[in-house]
Amino acid sequence: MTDVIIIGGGLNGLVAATWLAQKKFSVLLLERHDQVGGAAVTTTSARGFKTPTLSHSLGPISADVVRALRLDRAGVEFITPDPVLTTFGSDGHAITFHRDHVLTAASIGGVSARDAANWQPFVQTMQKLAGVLDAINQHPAPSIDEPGAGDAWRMLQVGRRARALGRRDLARLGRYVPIAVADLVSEWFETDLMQAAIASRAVFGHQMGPWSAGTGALLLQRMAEDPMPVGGGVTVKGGPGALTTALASIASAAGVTIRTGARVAQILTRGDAAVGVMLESGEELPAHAVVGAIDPKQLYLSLVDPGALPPTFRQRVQQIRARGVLAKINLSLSGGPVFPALLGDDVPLRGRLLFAPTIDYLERAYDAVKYGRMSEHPWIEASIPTANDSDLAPPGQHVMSLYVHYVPHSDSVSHEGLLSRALDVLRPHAPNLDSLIVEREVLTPYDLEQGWGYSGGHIFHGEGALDQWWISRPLLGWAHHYGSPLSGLFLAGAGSHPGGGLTGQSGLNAARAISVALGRRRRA
Amino acid sequence: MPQQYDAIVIGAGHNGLTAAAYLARAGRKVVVLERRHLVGGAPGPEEIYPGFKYSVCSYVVSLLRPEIIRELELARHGLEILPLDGTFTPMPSGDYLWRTNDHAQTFRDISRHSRVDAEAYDEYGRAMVEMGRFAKPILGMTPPDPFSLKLKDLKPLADIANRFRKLPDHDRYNQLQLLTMSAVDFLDQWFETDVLKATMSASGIIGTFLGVKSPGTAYVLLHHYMGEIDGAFRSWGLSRGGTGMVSESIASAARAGGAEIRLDCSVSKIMVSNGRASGVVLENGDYILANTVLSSVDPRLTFQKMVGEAHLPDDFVEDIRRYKFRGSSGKVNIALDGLPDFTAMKGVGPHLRGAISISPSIDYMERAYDDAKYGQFSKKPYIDIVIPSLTDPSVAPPGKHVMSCFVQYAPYDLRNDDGTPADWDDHREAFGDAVINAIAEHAPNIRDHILHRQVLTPLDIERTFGLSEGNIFQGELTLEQLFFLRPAPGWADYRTPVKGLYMCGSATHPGGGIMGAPGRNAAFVAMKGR
Repeated sequence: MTDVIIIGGGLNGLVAATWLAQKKFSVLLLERHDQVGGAAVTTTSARGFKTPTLSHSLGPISADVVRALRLDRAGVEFITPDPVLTTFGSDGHAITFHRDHVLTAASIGGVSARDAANWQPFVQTMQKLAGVLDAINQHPAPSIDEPGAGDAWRMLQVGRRARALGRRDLARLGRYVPIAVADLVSEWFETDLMQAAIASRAVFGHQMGPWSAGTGALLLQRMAEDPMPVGGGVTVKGGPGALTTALASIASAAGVTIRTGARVAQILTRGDAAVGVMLESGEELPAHAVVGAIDPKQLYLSLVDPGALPPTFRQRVQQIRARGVLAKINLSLSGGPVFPALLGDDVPLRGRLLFAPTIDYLERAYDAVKYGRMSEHPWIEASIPTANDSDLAPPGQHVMSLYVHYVPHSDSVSHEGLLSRALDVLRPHAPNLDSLIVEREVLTPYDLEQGWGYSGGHIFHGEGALDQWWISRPLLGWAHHYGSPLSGLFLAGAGSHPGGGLTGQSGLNAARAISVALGRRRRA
Repeated sequence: MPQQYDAIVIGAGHNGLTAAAYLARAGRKVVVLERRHLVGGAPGPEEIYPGFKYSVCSYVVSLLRPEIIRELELARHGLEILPLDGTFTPMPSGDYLWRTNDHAQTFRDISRHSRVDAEAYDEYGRAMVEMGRFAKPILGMTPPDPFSLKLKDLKPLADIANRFRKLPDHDRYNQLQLLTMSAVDFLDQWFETDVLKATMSASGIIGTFLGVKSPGTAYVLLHHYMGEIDGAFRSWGLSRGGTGMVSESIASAARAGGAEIRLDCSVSKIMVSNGRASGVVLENGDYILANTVLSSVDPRLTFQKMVGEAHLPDDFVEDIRRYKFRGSSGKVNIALDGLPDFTAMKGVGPHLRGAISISPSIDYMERAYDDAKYGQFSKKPYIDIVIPSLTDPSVAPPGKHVMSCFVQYAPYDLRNDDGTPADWDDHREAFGDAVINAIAEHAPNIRDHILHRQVLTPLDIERTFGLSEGNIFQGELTLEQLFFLRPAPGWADYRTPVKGLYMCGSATHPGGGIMGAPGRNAAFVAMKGR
């Protein structure tokens, strides 16, 4: 009998599967689509454009995961774009962020000397603070009911990290966790463009605005994953799917059996134990353990019979807030878009492009979704992957990927309306864009839910609010062992600690916890 | 001729008076210096329009600490709390929601909207009481300084964490949620009726620059829930004679203990020599000496104006500059020659004796906040109305009434449509009109009965009461400036970088809301000395 069935062949599922297989568990990975990858997929369009259907950047992959799975030897060519991002103001100004902080400061200096001077100190301070969260992320959350020696040891490590900050920065960390990111950025920068560029990173993917409390913590979370405050935009040659394809090879080499086109309909239980799964086809697959590397609400509410879980647990899972607000637009372009604000310089197009000119702009965009409506003036992050990887499209042609905020989770959102608003935002900055579009694909949060199982269309499997984080992710009392009231049923997706975007850390943390749990069961 | 005291208290608001009363009882020679012509600070009673006593600023009592009422024998000094029974919410449809202390009546009324909610209401009340019990000791303690990383400071936090761990499962879950969720999200988990959630969520945004859907407002719900009147958690009341009687009774207790209170006595500077407080200089040039000075006014006034940044460490100066006020409320006090007649419940009745809440829906509440974010006062504001004359006839002539309206949102930083800063003095009347219009939508006769109205904008509140930016709690009640972060990291225990100078107002833990706790806690810290 299979030791472990893993539901979901996204990044976390592949990481968990590979790690467990390397520890000599027999693993079967079930993916409902025809290709693995989850959010990290490359799809070839009708006209042959290789599109990053969902995510156009990776977390980046956590160093812990790279080490544990020897990803550096996987034959994957990571692309670290430089410059990383350019943000466009409404007045023709633009700021370009480079990996080199001196170049970045020079670009900021075109808008504000004071902000330029504060850039490096800001980055350094935030990286120091984020280091404490990184220490928290790398390990499972402690058990709050029965903290063990391991938990105490790990908390001590975090404490040491915190202490090393020194008094001033420790106080700063204490303030920055609950603060609204708009307040945080205004302590460092005076220009709208700088403030909004950083604030947008904090609110990315969540139903929050820059004035929402707790968005300071979200910025720190993003920086714990990726030291660039505006995000590094790390990707892979061949598109994000090349990574997951390579991972699938490593998984298979380690002994994982991967079945695609295999959608799980139900988790089979006997008493208070999970004993396997049943596919939509009716085929039953027994296993000692079942791991959902999928959205927690999908796992516990859709795949498990209601009677099999205690009502309180079920109710709390239902109450997990997962309100998706991000829509994805994929465009195939017959030529290169031109941005006059870049004054003929093509180099910034290697990085992502941000259209979020002021804090008020972000907040007004957010206001709409509170009332269930699409932002009249959305903010957009765009990527042109072909700028770094021309093989993704026919020669001279381009792929363009847009993240659009804020779009409500509703099946009545008009795809045409959404595309139209997005293009309205881009048109003043790239007047020739409309004429280049030969293919388009629009995915609303509702589409994300229907197509890929994100509850509410939330790309992080649940809001990164402070009460849905760490010891409360996915639920208070259940975070530490990635398990559930059903023995043998585990969660390994982004809905478990630490969550986050395409780092693989949740899968790795979960795999480690699961192997301990299974090891115990074996001995018992 | 300089006079010498053991302690000077700046500001005769309820916190300053409380601090003075405790110091006096301990045998210290205390003088309280008040800029205005009457005691009271924000609770003060005033006869602005002859014959009518407005509770100019605050209007209800609930959070005044029972130990203070007991220890200072405030009842003997004239404090009498009359129960404020219920909250009545009229709806545009002509329907209403009416909750009172009568359990059966409340159950019936909520049932009209939703039977499920009526049952959940009791459970919710019980859960909030439990959470109040957990939070109560935290309210009463002097915050530790965790950034010192010393055991003596980390231990209280470890104790709190342990108490948290040991809570029953559902209480633990609720407690964490309360700390970070929005009021609406939290209430959504309990109730389905929109007008019920809207009215209940209102207490989550009182005095804050946040909306009912903003994360962090569920916490403020609990803050307001922790009131105790005669032992009953949460019930709110009116002080007989107006809320000013709260301060009057504390002043009386202070005087009985030997404290001196001087009115029309404005402090210009706190004297500092060699890092120690040595007394104050008044606006008229007089000196008063003391080695202990307690300031109940907010940190901006205390440190930027009275002490002067030159005497303070750079880090502290930065922290105080960063401390956020963000006034968001206004007040409209009205003298009436007749009672408002609400379309939703016509005539004079007990529903007028409690609070009347203009909070018909969650969207209404949230839109009121949205206006303020961009520098406008709410076109359709949230209003919390009390007609104290129905319970306490002493505040108005016979047959006439006082109506007290607490309004949100009125942003201190008002802006014109083009985004440029606007002057509140030019918009005071328009704001007052918006409030009257909002009330008139539910009680059309109101306009016919107005004898006089007093409109207080955030700028007025700042000028009159010394509350910076018109923030009624001397600073936003948001997590990054609460508990051990209030008003600044490392300085949350009522002490300041100036030896002998203490903070005792709402800008210290546990924050604002006529609790008296800052005053009491600070007095004890000051008595221990350094």
